[in-house]
Amino acid sequence: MPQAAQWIPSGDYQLSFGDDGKIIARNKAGKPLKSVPPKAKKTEAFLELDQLRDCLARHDAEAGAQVQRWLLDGLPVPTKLIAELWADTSWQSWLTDLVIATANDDAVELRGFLREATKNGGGISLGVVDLDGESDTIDADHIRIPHPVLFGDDLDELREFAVDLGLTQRFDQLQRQVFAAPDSPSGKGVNEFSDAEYDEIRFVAGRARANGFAVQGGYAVCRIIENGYRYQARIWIGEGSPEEPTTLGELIWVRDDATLPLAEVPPVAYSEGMRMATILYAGRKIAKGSDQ
Amino acid sequence: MNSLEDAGAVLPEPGEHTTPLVARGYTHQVLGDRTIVRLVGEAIVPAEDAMLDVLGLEPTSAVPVGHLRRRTIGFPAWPIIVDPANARHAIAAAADLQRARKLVAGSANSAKAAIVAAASTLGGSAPHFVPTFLEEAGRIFIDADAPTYAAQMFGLARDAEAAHALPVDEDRHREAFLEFAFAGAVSVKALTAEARRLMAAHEPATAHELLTTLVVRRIKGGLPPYSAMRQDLRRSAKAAGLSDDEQALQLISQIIDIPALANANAGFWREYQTALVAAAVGNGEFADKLLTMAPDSIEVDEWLELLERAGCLDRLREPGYPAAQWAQVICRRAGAYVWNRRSEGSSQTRLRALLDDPQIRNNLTADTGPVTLPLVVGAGQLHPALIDTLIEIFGDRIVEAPCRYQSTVNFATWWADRDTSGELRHLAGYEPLASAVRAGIRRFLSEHEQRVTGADYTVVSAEAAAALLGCPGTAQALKAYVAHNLSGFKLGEGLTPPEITRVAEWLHYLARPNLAAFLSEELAVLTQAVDPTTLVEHNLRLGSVAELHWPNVSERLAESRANRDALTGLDPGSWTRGCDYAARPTVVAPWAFS
Repeated sequence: MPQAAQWIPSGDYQLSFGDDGKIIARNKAGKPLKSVPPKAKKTEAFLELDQLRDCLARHDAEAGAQVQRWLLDGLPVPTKLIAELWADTSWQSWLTDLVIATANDDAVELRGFLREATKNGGGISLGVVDLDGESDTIDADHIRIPHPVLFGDDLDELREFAVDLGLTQRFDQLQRQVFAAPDSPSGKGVNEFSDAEYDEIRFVAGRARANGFAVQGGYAVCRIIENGYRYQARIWIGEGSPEEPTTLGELIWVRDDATLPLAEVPPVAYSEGMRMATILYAGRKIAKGSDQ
Repeated sequence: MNSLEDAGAVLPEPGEHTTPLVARGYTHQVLGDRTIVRLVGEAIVPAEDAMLDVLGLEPTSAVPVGHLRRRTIGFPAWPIIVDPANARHAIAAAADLQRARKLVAGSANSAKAAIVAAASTLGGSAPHFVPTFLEEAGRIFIDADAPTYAAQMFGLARDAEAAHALPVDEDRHREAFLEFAFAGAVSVKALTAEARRLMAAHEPATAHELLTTLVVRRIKGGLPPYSAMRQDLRRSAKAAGLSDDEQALQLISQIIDIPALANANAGFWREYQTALVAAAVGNGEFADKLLTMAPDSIEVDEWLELLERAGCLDRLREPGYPAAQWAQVICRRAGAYVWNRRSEGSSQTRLRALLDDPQIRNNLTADTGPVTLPLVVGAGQLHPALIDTLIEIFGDRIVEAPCRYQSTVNFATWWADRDTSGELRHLAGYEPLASAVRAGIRRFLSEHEQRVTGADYTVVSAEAAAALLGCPGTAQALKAYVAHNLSGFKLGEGLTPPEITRVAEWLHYLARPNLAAFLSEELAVLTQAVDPTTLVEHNLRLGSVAELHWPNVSERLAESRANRDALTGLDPGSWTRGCDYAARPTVVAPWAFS
């Protein structure tokens, strides 16, 4: 375990980080104070800690976003890299208990829940709890973090298994909302979200950004790489002055600037696009009363 | 894109455009043993160290972990790398940006003041850093959801380029311009200003090419055409000595496939109508593309007019053309609720006529595949006669578009041109619409109500009643409406007074002899279910008019009113306040007893 936070002097007080990451203070006698005194807040040391706190929060969010990219884009992650990142509690918290897979040629094999990464001498081993509940180690060069929609029928089992083992993921790989494409999709888009109204464009745009989606032009956009192609799921959220009222439009999938027929949208892109639309839809204006 | 390198994977071996990636560990006095691991490109390590040093973070380790595709880099990494001699200015300015980031949450204005001051300081020592500095500041405002401030930063960056006579790399500039445009931080005015800047900075032909590229990239990225686009392009084409019609035609061919175009405003479709028509005439592929679109911004009739002129409607008449595809597209548009639409309640005669065209109808019925139509969800927008025709044509092939709320068939549009609206027999018999039809009938009745002289209830107007009975479809719908309203009661057991009250809420509209005769079957059951004795008992318990004159009633009333006013603190003088609405006797349509 890393050693707990240290105290640094700041005038008549000493400052540090509390367990929840907030800045805390104690007086000369070493007595912890309920809040940071205004006098201590005006010091250079406090400002530096405050900026450090922001920096750590950004670092943590960036780490989560990077793990999400590895998952959404189906990218191989070098084992060596995982081992280096493991030293940082932020990275570790995002990676712990993810279901990981190893890939040889095209065969992807689920290996289990990632529990630890250790460097021993020149070698690196990743410790996992495999799908039989046994501890195992992986010595592959790289691993993958598969998207839950690819687990297919095994997803429910994996979810139950994780609960049985008491594993909790900070990154919502297993608990992520997944959407299976309809059996025989037709058309070029999904229109079922278009009854969602918002009083102002910025409400829905803000919701999109807060959930990690890009807002590009009049669309909320989710980017995915799948089978070697870049896909964008886009849903129209309106364009113009941010205060104008708007409704959701069609959800489409784009590859190389061309809209794809639904039948050609691969599973992860489909699932993530629907997830984005569902998240935005949930923030719609709820009408007070209706005709009936 | 086909390689892992382009996808952004960390590779074990160097690739064509990669840079070594380093896992850089940092510690801080206050964090004890905790290590922060940053993934940094090898070249940027000094910049990252310098930035984190400001916060007191000290580097402890650097382990190469692979190779990563090179990315465009921002501020301060870019100045530190291109001009290490001036790195300290960049680091100082980067600290200013950190402070501004903190300020922006509270007040965008004070953040802006801080940035402008810092930019001016930076301009004194390293002016060539100022544009990237201001663009980075713009990104802070974009993140903080303040696009107008971001637009100002972007404008200031351009001013700085001009003021310090800095060379502009057009590719880098365009990427930054588009980045800000996609974030909503480039106004229409700024777009026109950019068009003028290009014309001033380049040969006319190059300027027109650059502007066209910008416009196309912008639309590809998801922005609809901007309103002055046609004028800007016309001006630059003229300067370059190009034919205006020709360039409009070329542009339209480049952008017609892009999904964002469906969201273009009505002005775009009008300004480019000639070009659209010219592109489609004699080019079946282009005409087919138009047939897959139905923009929300312009009225259905106007769009059909354009399709007509472009020869697209003739294509629908060609034997074997898959017209059902087009029917889905145009019906989705016609059934869509468009906020603030002018044509609410349009008669949609043009579309109805097209569906009745024998050649088109042949093509519509030739296929047997499923057809997704918004008949339920669009019931309020589609003319009842249009719905009727669509059900007649497609019947069992119809798949309803998802609908999450109760929709209502808009019989007001039928009322407006009922003489030419046909019999609506298919509409009335179409099960998925049953509840929307009932809701429509109810609304129609209440919109055509008349007060009955000398009574306190309303009935539907004689003209509306005659129209309902005169059309087989609406007559059938009316019967179904009444039957459905009565189906919730156990009529055989007789109705209780509260149940009668509920029936009376809608039954009064129908108090006309011709309607009663038409509905005699349904109403006969109802008449039997109402027991006059129960009603008389109930009404007697509520009190008779004569009772209200009894002296002790007046006394009690005055007493209870005084009590209530004392409780609520109201002025006891007002007579109306004493009315007890809950005790108002139930009114039952008189003919129910006949």
